[in-house]
Amino acid sequence: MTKELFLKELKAKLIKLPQTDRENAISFYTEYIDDALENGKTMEELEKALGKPDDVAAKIIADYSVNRAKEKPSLTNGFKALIAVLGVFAIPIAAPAAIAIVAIIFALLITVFSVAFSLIMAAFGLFVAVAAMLGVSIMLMFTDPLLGVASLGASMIASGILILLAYCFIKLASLMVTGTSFLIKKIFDKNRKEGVSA
Amino acid sequence: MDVQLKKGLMSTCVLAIVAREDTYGYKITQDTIQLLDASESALYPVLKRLEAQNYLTTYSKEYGGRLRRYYSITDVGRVQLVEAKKELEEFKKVIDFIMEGGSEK
Repeated sequence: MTKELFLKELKAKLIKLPQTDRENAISFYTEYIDDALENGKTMEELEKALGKPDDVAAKIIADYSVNRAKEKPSLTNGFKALIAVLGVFAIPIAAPAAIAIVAIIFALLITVFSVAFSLIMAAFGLFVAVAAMLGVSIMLMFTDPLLGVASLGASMIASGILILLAYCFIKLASLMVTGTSFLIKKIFDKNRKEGVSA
Repeated sequence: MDVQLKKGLMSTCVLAIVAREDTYGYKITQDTIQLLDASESALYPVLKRLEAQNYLTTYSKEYGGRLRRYYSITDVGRVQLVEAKKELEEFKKVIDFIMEGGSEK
């Protein structure tokens, strides 16, 4: 790999970093390669000592993400740092890390889907309850019209609220599932790039 | 070696190297990895952190028709190095004890 290609690949891998951080890293490694070549090293030797642009970038990003999570602690930054660090560790201990990631994803999937499923079932249960209330009200009409009308009114109000609730439940369930798949995709994307299978 | 321990030692090594004389990234890296077994790419994050902590400062100087970034230790960095040396003195006692087989002389 030539110097230019190495730097180009490194730059591409650092695209998510803020511009100044990326430029600092690139100018550091431009100078570094120049110095190494002047000291009689070849690009092959350098790549062996330094690692591929992937590895070099992974270290820079892991450090950046961890610092950012420390400066601005938030769930998103925490997750980003976790993913970046997993990326670095995925290189030397590929198989155990891959197993751990799959296990985490599997547990996450089961949790999310069971919660989503129970939310949907609760929504379904509410519909059944409302239907039963309406049925009872209509039957009451024949025996005690006054009570029947009151009951019908009450069940109408109840059905309005319950339909709204059911709608929220289903929305929430679908939101959870999309959120999880997005997170898993991120983990997978990251690790495909870092080469978990390698 | 333990990762955290290595990280700490690496930072102190870099401070000690730069404390001798102002020098540049490639030289710092080569000097450090002669002492500590690590990938050369581990040094950039360390240098960046030391700079962010204000232990090191940088300036550009022309060298062979291009610019080279030189690292220089700050006063805060020197204080930190003294502190680190004190801590290592403590370690040294423990290490000597262990290396002697942990037995009384």
